[in-house]
Amino acid sequence: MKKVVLVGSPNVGKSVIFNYLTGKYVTVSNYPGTTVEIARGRSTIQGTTYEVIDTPGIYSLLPITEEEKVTRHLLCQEKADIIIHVIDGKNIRRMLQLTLQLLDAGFPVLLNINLMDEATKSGVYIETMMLATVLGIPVVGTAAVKKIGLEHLKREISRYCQVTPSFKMLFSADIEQTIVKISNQLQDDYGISRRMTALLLLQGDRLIYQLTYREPFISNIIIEVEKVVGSYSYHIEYILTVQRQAAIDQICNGIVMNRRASKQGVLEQLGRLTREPATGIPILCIVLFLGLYEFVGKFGAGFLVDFIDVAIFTHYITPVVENIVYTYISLEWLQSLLVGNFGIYSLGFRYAFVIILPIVGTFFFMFAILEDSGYLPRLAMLVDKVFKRFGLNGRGVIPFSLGFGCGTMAIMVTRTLETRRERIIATFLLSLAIPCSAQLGVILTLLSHSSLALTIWAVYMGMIFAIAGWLSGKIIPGKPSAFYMEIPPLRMPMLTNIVSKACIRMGWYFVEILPVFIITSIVMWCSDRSGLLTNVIQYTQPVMKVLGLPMEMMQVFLLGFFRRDYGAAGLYDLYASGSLTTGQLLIASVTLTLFVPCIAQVAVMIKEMGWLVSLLLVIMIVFVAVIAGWLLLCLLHLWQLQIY
Amino acid sequence: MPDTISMVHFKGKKKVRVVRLLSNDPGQLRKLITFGILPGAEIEILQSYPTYVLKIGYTQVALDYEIAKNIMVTI
Repeated sequence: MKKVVLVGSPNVGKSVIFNYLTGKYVTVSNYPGTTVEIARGRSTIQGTTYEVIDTPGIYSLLPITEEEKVTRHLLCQEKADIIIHVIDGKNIRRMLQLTLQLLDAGFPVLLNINLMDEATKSGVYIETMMLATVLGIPVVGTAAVKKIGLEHLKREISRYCQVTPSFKMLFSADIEQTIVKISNQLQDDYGISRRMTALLLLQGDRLIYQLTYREPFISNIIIEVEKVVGSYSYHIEYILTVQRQAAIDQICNGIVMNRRASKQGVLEQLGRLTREPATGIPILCIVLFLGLYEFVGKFGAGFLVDFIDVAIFTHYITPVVENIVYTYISLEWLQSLLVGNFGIYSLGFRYAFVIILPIVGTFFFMFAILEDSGYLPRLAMLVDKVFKRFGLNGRGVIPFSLGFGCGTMAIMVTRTLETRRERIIATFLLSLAIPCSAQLGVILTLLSHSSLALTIWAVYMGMIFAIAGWLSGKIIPGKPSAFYMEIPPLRMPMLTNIVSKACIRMGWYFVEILPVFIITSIVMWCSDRSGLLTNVIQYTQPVMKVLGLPMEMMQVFLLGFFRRDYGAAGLYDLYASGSLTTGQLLIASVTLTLFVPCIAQVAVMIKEMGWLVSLLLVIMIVFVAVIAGWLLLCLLHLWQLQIY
Repeated sequence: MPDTISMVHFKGKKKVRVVRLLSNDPGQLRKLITFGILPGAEIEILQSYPTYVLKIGYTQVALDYEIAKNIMVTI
């Protein structure tokens, strides 16, 4: 099967094109770095089936972040039949840098100028036919979101055959000579042209040095590299880019025309307001208040949960299920396994649908709006200074805000951070102090009757986040990497994309959690039956005592380990039955929020960070959670604070 | 030749031309050049707090002080 790989800078619409070609859905949004993993799908064009591969965005063939390395590796490993370089039309001069690099690497490139509609609006006109002639490769203009030009793109794919491009990048004579000298001494094949291998070596690319160290003439090559690198007072990568840019400007002469841009619209104005601190910070607070508190907290966790629980489950479904079980099943143990306290239905199924579904659903819906509008990068730049104090930078805001939805997803998204150090700090803080939407929703509802308790909870969590962040920034060696991020234009989110994205995420979440819920209820049921649960609760009683909590609370913590949200749901039941005072509820909420993330999150953590780091993090988290709960208890006693 | 100063000296909106980049850290240099911040490029400083925001061509880029201080510009 022929392989088609989509590459290009972040946020140019590769995934939109992938979705169109394959009919599959991968997440699309309006911020750089949405795709952190490779997606594969199939597309049949005029009777031929192609394998289409979507890749995380790269700015150049020299990677900076983890996800960029993934793409570079893929380009070298997969012998693609067509590489579609997707670029942003209005920034064509900058984006052609990568096109020329891909051509230098000897790849079969098809150039796709996307976002043509935005380019026209900005006053940029591109003669695609002339560009195709000059470069000697097929060039297709599209506006993928509006489905313009995509059929043309398909046709070009089906008739594609690799030709030698008519354009050849020539650097200055000394560099060209060195490239020839190095290429002649290379023996092995690294999935890219010798010329590009030489260029990467010249630029000191680590990945290529790791591969070429066994080359027989590597010491000669290094001497050549050092000779030419030493002759410039600037970094060689910079020299190459400047020379390439000069070539691009020549290519674009007469092909790219700049005319007057159309007048600034409402979105441009709003884009500016959300970015400037005087207006941006109030807007940020409004977004958080409306989105998180009103929509997810009050509407999702309050209204929807009640509605589904009372109007649907209590009235219709539960009586039916219980009726069926008691009528047709006579075995007592089976009855309790299904509809008992820890039954598969009452604990597993009902929790998943009543409590988790509405909260997670509303969160993903809201998050999708933020993503697609292009608000998140603005958020990132506004909070950069704050995140720097935690040893991270503004980039961290994307995994952290996703963490309020699902910590497991958020840990995967930490791949967009630059260094391993930052990923460890982010994973730690995410697992410790960021409640997922289900947890947050339940806690907000539980504490909402006492604004004092809610305020204490929020301030206390914020403090722990700040202290833990500040300490980990100090303790883990290294310093935060510099912050840079493209600020995309604000775009009007499309309802269809938002809904499908929220649904896909919810589906993903459900497939992952429902089995865990059911297994958990079985495990809990078994340990309850065998008396193990009572034993565990007995053993851990001292801990509960320290925290001033009733014994049953341990059960909630155990549940909480299987799923964070599950624990929160258990807390809800315990409170509903009246066994907790508001003060205890507050301490329980704090400890539970901090407590070990759910099993799925630990699994992802191990996958991304390794056993050792994960184990250390988990130990730290349990420790901090208990201490923080105890400290709060002491403080409440100290101030003799009575919370009702 | 007009004076060359670091762009962080400008507060508020300003159109400037890049003269050279000071950093020797290849990672930092790469970040700048991938956005087209190269000698001769015209950039517009849109804001300087809480991070710097530049406009290069049709792209807006946010940069922190650590990177921005290495961009030497002239008016």
